[in-house]
Amino acid sequence: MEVTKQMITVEDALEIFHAREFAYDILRRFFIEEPSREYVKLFIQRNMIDLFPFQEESEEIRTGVKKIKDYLAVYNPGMIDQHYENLHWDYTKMFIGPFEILASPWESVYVRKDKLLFQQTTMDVRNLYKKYGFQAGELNIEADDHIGLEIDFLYHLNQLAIESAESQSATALQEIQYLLREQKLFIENHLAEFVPALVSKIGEHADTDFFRGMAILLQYFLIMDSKVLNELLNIEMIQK
Amino acid sequence: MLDLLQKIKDFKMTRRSFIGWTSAAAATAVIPVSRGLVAKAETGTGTEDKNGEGIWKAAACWHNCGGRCVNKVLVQDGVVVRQKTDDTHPDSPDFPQQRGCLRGRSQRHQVFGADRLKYPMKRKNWAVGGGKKELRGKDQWVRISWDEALDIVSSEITRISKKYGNEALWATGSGQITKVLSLNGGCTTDYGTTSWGAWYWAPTMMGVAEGWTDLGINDRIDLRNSQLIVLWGENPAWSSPGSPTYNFMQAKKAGARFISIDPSYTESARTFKADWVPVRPGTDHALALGIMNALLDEDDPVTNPLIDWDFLHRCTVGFDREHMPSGADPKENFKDYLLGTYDNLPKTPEWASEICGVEPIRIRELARQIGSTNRVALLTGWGPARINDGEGWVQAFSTLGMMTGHMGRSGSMTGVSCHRAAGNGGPWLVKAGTDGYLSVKNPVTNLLNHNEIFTAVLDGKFHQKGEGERKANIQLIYHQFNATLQTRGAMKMGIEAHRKVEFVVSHAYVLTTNAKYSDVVLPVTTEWETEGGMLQGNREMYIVYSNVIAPLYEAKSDVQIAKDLAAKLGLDSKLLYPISEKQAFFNKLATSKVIAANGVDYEPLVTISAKDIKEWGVTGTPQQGRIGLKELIDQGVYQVQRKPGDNFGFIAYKSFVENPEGNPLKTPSGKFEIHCKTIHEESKGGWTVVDPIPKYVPKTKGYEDTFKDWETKKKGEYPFQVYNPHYLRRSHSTFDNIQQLREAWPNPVFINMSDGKRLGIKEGDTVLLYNQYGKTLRPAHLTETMTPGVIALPHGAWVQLDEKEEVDKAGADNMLTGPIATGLGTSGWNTAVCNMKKWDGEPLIEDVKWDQRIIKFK
Repeated sequence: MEVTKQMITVEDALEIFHAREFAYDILRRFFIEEPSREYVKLFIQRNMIDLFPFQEESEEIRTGVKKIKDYLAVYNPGMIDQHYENLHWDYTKMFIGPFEILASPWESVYVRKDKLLFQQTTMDVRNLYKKYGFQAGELNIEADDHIGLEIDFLYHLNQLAIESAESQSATALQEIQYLLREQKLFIENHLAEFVPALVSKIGEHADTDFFRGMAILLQYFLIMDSKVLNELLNIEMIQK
Repeated sequence: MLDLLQKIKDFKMTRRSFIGWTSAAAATAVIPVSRGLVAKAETGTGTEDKNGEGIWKAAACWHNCGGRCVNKVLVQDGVVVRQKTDDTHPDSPDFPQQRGCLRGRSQRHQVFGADRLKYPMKRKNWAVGGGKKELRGKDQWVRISWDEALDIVSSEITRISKKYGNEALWATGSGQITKVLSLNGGCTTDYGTTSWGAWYWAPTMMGVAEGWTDLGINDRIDLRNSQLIVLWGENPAWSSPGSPTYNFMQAKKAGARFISIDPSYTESARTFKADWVPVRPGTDHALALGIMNALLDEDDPVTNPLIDWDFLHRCTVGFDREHMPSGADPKENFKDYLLGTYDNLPKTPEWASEICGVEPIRIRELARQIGSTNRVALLTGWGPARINDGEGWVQAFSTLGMMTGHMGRSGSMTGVSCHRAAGNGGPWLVKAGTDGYLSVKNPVTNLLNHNEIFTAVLDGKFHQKGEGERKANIQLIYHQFNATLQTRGAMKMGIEAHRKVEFVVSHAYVLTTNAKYSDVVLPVTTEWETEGGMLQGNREMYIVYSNVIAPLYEAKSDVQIAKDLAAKLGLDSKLLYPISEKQAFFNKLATSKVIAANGVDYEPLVTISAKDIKEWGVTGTPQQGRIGLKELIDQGVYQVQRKPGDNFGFIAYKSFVENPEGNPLKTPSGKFEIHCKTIHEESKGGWTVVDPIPKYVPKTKGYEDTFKDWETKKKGEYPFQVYNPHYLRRSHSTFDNIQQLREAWPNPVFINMSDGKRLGIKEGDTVLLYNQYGKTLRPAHLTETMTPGVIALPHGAWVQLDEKEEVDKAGADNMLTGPIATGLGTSGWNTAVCNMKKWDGEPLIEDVKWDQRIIKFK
């Protein structure tokens, strides 16, 4: 029996890339730093949470979206100072300190026995960033293996894939394949290693359903995205 | 299974998603992700060598731990991957390596820990003037910029000094900020006896050395000539890591016997196989008097010469009525006090035994051993003097050495042997130079004694030493470079004081207790992140450390913060820091000196070439020294090689003892003053009057205070004595949040087996220690190696109050101390009394299982 290999056009793949761009942009912004007032306002006004992709495929993503919507039904951090401050504090308290950091945002803390930052784990990630010409905006100020930066890295690799797809160049297909594989490996070797533990810490310590929901989206979007990347790598991609 | 192709079809069918995503991307693209990834700059990446072993750098090990060692780090690709210690030369007893301990080797955990304070922060409910001050220590925090942080700090300094005067600003400890505030019109400062206890002022007045700058014992190679080494409240194995224990071992190998007089059977006593004489804290004074009485009793110049009468007559004043200093009442002589001639109370071994707990027969034995052995090293740490009313102990201990003549001769010595100079006295063979920073006089003269810092805030008054009561209205606390709230006495009052004032700010690299109770915290660099510097250790060497990494997070050096704050205050920081930090480091190196071969003169330490100066980008003059600049920086240490018979040995007080008239001491009589009028007169401007001779007084919160009725020996409300040994998990309070050290050193409270049994406390049970000042919990360790009735609570644990803010779970020693000033202003941590019981609440879990931060924040 002959198996027909499925095929996908670069143009169709771009649909997926844009969905990923949208999701990773949300995730990186909410995990890289305290939410900015401006972004939160836009996030609410444009009802961006409703557009979060793969809700139909994942019950957990639906749960995460619901938590955030429930929160936004009661609180409006875009408009009300106190709500914004509490949301801001939720991030500060969990990820920055100065008290006990309730949900350490660094991979090192979860994967290293010694829990030290700026060691090999940080440097491995730094070297990957460097490979694509990136470095942490606050080099040596923030450890490179911060969850926000790792998500930002996926965002940027996806952007590179979008650029390749839109360039229609002769090497576009190769570039996209390579970038997809790199993203898959990065999720497997880094994010998958600590996101579940981090997310459970956030679930335990977050004051707001907003961050609890966002944590669920983080974990289950990564799981979904791994499946997406696997599929994309198994399907033959063609240029029209 | 995900059907991707179907999914794409769905996406295409409902254009809503696609349009939503792309338009959202367009809309949000203009909002910056301020801490995200950026395009990598192409410069400064040329030094990486992925296949090499990396670069070893000399790293600072800068703590006040009692030692000083070589610490090196392997830097690979900008990362410190591991550490090592001294291997700059082969190790030998004469020329030992300066090897680090578990704390120095844990320093990667200190510098790179996830608990570093990364950004300036302000307390959420802070407002000008304080704003819900009662929330200090439990408020939320908000990350702020350096600019905002320094705006807040400078405007509060200005506002408070305008409103209440500059006296209302209190810069704790000493550091760069005292200089800035001095330039800004001044500030209140504090002072005290810290580690020295009563060795801080009293010894110098009577002509003996205090043991830090001025060393009163022979050098380590001469120590090998001692036949008997008495470690009186001295435990180098715990309190002076590095080479001291090794040096003592050489004396042991050379045949010395050891006696350890201590409330506990210490690790040093075990190592040196010492005879242990258990003594109660704060009663060493009584024991010394008992020994001296026994010496008088048993001495016979012909048949049993125990006392060195020749030494007493030639070198001291005040021992007997025939050798009194001019103007003193002959009845005030020490001998008649010992014999009880005028007070009808001979200070016999029996009298002493009732107080110190050492059997009279052992006291006599000690007298015979110390008196009849030719070459004795009578060595004490500062610990036994870190007591209330401690001056008399300093006088008594020194007098014992004079009485037995164990001073000024080879193998014979009496004095302080601790910290960096444990077992190794003498002038420094390598001396660091000066950095070239300037300082200005502080126009405010208010000086708070450490025992009154918190009552000054709470009660609005304090005793200005030598003058009398002054009013105080302290409204701003600036913690610059210390652990004031953690390591000064009366911590509970301290917390209250911190919640009373209008503003509190701390520099900190982790959330120290100071920082926790502040309004604003400013993150500082560790020494690994600075330009480099020099660290003094034992007399034979000097440690030089270099920059290991760039400042982490947003941390800045203390000097940089001082400069930035000065600028905000509108001051010219050039008046304090006319040069860069690099130039300051260079200056210090360039002006360092090393002893010449003749053992008398000093010559420049470092050879500096014109090329070095150019590479460093500093100003300077080339010079010839002992070691090249780069070699010194790479090596991380310069150590003078020693051997027996060299020119670098030292016999303390030798020239004086040989010819007291020709080489007088800096005392009014020119001699050792067993009767010391200076101490007595000075104490009149202090807190309690100190007698000119070492007369025994019961120590406040000492053994006698454990009784309700001393005569009938009925115990009181607080029947236990508690003291604070230094503990290898920490250096004072530093390192306490490092998990691997917590694991290695679990920090129990040490209790005698019989006390535990009597109270139904078993090994590992959580016990509550309490008195009128506070309550603290610890797991119990029951041992025969503690004096009964005495509890050892290790020093420096980071306070962690329960939710009601009543009981501390960490075993913070200062939960049990009060604001007590005695004598010349001595701080007496080792005299405290408490009660103990099995804890009926939830038992403590092991410290290593605690979250790394000290505070549970919910």
